[in-house]
Amino acid sequence: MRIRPLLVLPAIGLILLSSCRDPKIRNYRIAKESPPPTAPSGMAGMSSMSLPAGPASAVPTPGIHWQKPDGWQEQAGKSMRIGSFLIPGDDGRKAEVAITTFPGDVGGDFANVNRWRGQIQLPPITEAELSAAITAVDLPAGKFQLVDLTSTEPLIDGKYKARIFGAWLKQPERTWFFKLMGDADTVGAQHDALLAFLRTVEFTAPSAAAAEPASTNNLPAAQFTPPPMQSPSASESGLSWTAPANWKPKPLGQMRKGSFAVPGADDAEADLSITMLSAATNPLLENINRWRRQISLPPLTESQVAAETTTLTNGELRFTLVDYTGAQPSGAATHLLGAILYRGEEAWFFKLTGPDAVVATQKAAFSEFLKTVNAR
Amino acid sequence: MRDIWKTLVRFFVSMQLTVVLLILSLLLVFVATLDQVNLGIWAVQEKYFRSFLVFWRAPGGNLSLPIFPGGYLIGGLLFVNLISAHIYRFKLNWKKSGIFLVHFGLIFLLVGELLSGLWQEDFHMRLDEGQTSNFSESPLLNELAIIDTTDLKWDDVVAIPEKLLERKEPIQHPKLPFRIVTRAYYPNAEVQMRSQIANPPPAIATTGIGAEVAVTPQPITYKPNERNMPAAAVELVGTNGSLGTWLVSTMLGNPQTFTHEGKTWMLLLRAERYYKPFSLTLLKFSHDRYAGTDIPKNFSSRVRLKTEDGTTDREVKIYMNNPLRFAGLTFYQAGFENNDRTTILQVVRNPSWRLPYYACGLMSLGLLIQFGISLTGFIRKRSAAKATAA
Repeated sequence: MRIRPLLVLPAIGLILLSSCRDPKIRNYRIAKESPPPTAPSGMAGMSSMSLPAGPASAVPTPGIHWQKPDGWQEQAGKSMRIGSFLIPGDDGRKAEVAITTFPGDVGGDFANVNRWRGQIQLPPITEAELSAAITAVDLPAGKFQLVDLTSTEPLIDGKYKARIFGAWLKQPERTWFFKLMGDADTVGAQHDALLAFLRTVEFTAPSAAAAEPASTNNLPAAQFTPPPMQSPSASESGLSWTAPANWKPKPLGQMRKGSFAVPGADDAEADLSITMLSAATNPLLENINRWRRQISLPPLTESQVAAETTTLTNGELRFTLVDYTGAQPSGAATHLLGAILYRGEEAWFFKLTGPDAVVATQKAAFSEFLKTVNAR
Repeated sequence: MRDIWKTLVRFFVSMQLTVVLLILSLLLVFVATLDQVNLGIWAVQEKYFRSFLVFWRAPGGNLSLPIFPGGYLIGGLLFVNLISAHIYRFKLNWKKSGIFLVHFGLIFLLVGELLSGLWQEDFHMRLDEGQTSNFSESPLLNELAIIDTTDLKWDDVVAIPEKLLERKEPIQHPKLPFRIVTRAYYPNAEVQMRSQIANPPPAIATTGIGAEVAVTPQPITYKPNERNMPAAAVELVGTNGSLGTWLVSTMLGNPQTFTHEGKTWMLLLRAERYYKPFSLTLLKFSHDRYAGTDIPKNFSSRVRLKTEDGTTDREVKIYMNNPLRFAGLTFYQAGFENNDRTTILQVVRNPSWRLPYYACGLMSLGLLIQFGISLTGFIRKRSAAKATAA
């Protein structure tokens, strides 16, 4: 009889085993890997690059294929780049083609053009000037937007003007960028070659359905598709708000949780952006100084923060408010009203920027808007 | 004391316990199946079946409350219940030998599921046509690989599971001349070049590509067709101080390289990799369709299997219900992509994969014996009745 209880012990032991699953550091030696084949058989002459290259790779990117023009030298892929080509020019000059892709619309056409303009030290354009700056072309892969920008100053070796001939293609989930950049002459000579290159671009589906699993342990087909990147809307994020009726909602960019055009008199407009970042990596002072830099104001020190900010309380939400008037890099006077909210691990930024005539009149509306913010 | 023991024994051998546990199992499976819509199959397995208790997190708070017994608890109690009943209640005799075998088959089944949960490893191998690979990758888990690439022929890899980065405790390994300190960790995050964002947040890294990259945390996804893309800022601290803080993310395609004390190192966050002493080369992937339609008829991969020591070098065709079993691993045809030029094989290691077969064999044998005994008894009785009548 005494032995009977002991017979139950193996059962209990087996159950306890289930708690022994601790991750361990592994160390091993492997022969150096040879690079994978660059193009599948039967595709000689065609560069092929497709993401994802493995379960761990980046985003649910469709496969992209293109036909490389003669004279373009393929470069090893750099981080974040899908493709990279070097084009030698005269006198040792050169141009480079970079192909990248990012989820969402990366801020939209306006932001894209001004980002590239900034790269060759051109002042930003206004939204009204945008349509004149962009040319749209219909190509087999879709409708590409093109811009051709040349710097006013000789930026390359102090002798040559820099030029960007860039194109981007918007897809529902992402935007593809094709940027030819270099000295003005080399880029000009390659203008048609880039267009010809864009005509050869084609996409393939990111992942097809998988075969029926052979065992009950197999994965569902969709397991192999990495996450689609979506721009969250206000309703998906942790906060909700109610904007005044005359504030016009704008498309959400990659980073924005909320976006509004705030109208003033004479068609003038201010921009309200709502973004959410990690609180751990976005301390208050750094963000205040980031905003100050954007409008050409000197940074504050920690001790000045209290004097330079006010607080607005909305239930449990506590906003730190700033109100600055400064100038954009282009010299245009600008007014910035900002509110920073720390909520657990999240840091929320509400920024209203634009001409002083608009922002100053909307200050009360901005405060009222903050009072409508609710934690979901 | 004796009374407590008796109560315990009565509790564990009781038929009521069996019935309650079976009802709880039914409820668990039902709720878990519904929750699969929200969490996906992996998270559901971990939350409901490979756990002792099912926890519920109150909305908006960090408090988790146990609300239901998990699969390990129900299965474990059933296991104890069944064994206890055999020890204390059932008497072994030939007339009930079939029932005993059925019960032992059930015990095997329970143990088999437990061991599968503990030992089974699921990986993928992705091969383009013409490509050779000798490693498989985890579909769920990631690792920080720090690779000493100084040697011309060999790479020395230290692979740190993502879980250890998440704990944010300093990591020291005898093969590394520096310590790894996780400064920030995001289980799912997007990375973007800061130059491509209108108002970029400060970079969380000081060295490498990370200094130019903005990281945006994203909510953790449990959906079966999505994968979390973790990112972390890791500081490497040598004997003479910090070497810098790098951003690592599964979204960054290429590894980052640096030199330290005359050695060249590579750093990357990638899917957990397991290398094998053999390689597979995809010779041809075939996707057959029914004539005149796009309806799939068959998927198959013709691969060349080659061991490092040269003892095996052969061609194998892997297709539905015809996996390749080699070196304790099973390679199933699981998927394809890239216009039918890339195959995805599911690679499973499950040392206890035979247990369910043994269990079913035992149970079938038990049922046969039990029915056989009843049938023989019945025939005997009938013959005896006939003889009496005659």
